[in-house]
Amino acid sequence: MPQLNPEWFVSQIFWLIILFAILYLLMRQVALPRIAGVIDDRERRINEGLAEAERLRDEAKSAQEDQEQAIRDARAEAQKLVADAQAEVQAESEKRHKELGERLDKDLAEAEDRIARAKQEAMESVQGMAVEVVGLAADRVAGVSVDEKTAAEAVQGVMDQEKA
Amino acid sequence: MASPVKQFEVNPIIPIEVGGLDISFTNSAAFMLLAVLVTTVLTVGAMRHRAVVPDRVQAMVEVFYEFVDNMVYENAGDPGRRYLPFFFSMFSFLLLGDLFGMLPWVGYTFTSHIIILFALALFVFVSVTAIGFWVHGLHFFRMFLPPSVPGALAPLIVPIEIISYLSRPFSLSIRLFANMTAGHVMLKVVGGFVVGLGIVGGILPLVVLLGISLLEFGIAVVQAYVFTVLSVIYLNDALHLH
Repeated sequence: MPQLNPEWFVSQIFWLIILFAILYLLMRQVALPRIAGVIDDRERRINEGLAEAERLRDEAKSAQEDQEQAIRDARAEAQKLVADAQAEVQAESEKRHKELGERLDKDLAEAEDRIARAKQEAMESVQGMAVEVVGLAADRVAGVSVDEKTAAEAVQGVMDQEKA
Repeated sequence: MASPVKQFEVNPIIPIEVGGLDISFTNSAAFMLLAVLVTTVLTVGAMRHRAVVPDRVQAMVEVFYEFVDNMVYENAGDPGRRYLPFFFSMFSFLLLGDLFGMLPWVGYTFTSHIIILFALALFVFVSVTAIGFWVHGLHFFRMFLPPSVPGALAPLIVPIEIISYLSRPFSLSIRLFANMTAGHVMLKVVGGFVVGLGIVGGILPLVVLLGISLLEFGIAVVQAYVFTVLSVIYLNDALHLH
């Protein structure tokens, strides 16, 4: 078996030492620090990115909350405006309603007054006529002369009787 | 047909002799150099952009790095991380050495050479022992008597522990050597059957050869890993005793 032939042992060990030492030094001085540096750098960047993302998320959250608050405020404001406007319109309408009612009441009262006065006048003129008629009738039918005062009393008595 | 062990032969490419010692640059040395070059090109080259979003090669190198880093950290804790460059180099060196053996026609498996593995294992053994004494001083000897062992058993346990400790470089290197050698001999022998039995008769051994080849790829990775992870565990023993 050639592996057990000591002829090449010295050469094998010599080149192993030289080449492995070169490999070790290259790895220790150049390659591994570089790889470790890249890996650490990546890890750092990822952590930074995560922190940044978290910060931005919080920022967005607070901005959203601000916006929602603004929307709520605006809505409340709008509702208040609408309520005020409604109240104003209502008050105005009630006022007008009341004014109209008062005017109508006044007109009605006047009209009733006028009617009562007209009725009164009419009644008075009817009564005067009746007294006259009574006087004439008594004179003509019975030949009795009745003075105006007596006739008026008689008419008044009949009218009271009628009313009763 | 060539002998199945001919593939392990060492041949000089550039003959060099210094002070009566033959240190020729051989095919074995060439593949060791290739392992160094491939590792360096992959790690240094792929990381040259230092990209935050890696391309495929950079991602592969990073995954490999984190794999070895995790292995060292899990088995030897934080103090073991100081020695990460060594374990990283060793794992890459052995892994590529194993995998170069799977290259068709040109492949050569320098990890099938016991002397290379034994040199590595001995270096690990000596370094780990030195680290153990450096960290714990003479308390390092407590390693040979686990604290849970009753004192009466000490005369039995201590020699066993010492022998097991001393046999580490042998078991470490022979494990990888035997795996590589046996696997490649088997590939060669079954491959010989394929050629020898011709187009019809060779189909069955060809299927077997395919299976063994797949298995060999797995063994190449696993055994390089085992060699490295056992070295890390030895370091852990030295750092933390029992």
